[in-house]
Amino acid sequence: MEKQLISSRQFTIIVILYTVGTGILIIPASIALEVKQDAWIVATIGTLLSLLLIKLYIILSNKMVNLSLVEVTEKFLGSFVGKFVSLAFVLLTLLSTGELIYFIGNFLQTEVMTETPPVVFGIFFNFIILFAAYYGVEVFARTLEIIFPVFLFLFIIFLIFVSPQIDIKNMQPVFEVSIQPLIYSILHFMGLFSFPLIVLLIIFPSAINNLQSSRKGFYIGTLVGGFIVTAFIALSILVLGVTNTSLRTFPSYTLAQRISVGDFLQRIEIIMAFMWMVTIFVRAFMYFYASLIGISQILKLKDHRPLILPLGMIVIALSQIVHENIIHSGKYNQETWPLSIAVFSIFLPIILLIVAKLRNIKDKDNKKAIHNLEDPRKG
Amino acid sequence: MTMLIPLGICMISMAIIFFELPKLKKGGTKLTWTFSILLVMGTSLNIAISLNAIIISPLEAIMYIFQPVSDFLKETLLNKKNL
Repeated sequence: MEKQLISSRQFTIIVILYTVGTGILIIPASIALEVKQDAWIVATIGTLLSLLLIKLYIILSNKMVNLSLVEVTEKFLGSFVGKFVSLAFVLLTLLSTGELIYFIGNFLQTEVMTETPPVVFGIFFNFIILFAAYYGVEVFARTLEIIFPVFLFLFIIFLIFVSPQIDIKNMQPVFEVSIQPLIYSILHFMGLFSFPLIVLLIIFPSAINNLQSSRKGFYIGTLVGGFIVTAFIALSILVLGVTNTSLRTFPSYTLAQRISVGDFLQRIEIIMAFMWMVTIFVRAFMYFYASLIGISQILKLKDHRPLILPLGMIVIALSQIVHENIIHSGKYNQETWPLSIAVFSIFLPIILLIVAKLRNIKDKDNKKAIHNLEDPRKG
Repeated sequence: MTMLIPLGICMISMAIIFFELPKLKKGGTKLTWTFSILLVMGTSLNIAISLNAIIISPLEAIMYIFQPVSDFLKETLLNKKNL
């Protein structure tokens, strides 16, 4: 296996699309239910708090050099404990891949093709992920470079076309929410928005060719992603109103259905759905890739590519059994998912850093920087 | 008709084995073992689902582990009692 490298610009694009992820479809409804018209405040605070989390990851990544998260866990915590923790991480990412495939199947079945069983969409969507995994993260990053301008164009078109329907009364009164539901909602929002960024540490220091600007890209990507999610939440509430937003399964899609320009440009929501396809694809791929790389690094295999198809079969199976219905999925995403991912995204980095301090492992940044100067492919 | 889907799944598994054979020969025993275990898991899961044998979600285990914490958070922050 030759080493794959991605540039800092590609990494920024991955971060943007990854943070937007599933949130764009699922977050508005559930958060509007919790904090009513102040949901956009939750999203703003959550985005700013995410920057602290990234600070933590970057401090951790200085100690990682060319290793991925799974290898570092094993190196710092010892063979047995490290393998156990990594295995739990891999299981969680694999289950989440199944969950995302469930989401895309559910979304298409609910809104587009109501007669088709969701597993059909799941199989087709899974093919793309397996294809991308087969070619590796470098090809994936270049693909996103092509897709990203289209995504941005659609997003801007969306903003322009929906804005005439804004009713500012839906936002009032501002700051009505009390402090306790706000805290709960921020946890819920961050659980879907920025806690999963820990998965990017599989590729972050080890597959990046220019670490210095990639760190900036990490912050910028999160801010842009946060802006996109916040815009969707705010628009859902401004246009549809709180009650309507919280009752819909996919408020963003309903929002796209409202687009009507001069009574001749209508029903373009399926073009807008391309945005959600892209973001869910990026997130599903990253989860799948993390579990694939995780398994091959736990067992120290040389080549991970033969494992792609069997894992794909498992993912298809999981996508059919993770949630029996949308209610179960909502409950899981609100109550359990933020906690279970927090174990890996907050406690694990802190524990790793403490262990590194005790074992006196120094930052090995210089070696990488020298290596980059010799590398002709600047990011 | 009911046996057609499991048969199809077995065929797909055979195709995967046939497709990956050259790489597995080069990869060593550990890779072959991992590949076989994952493939058997995938195939059996899919067949079990096609026969409607699985009715419980694997996420229930995770939900059960975090139940006390999530209930505590819900009661203190949202003032909702879980019924």
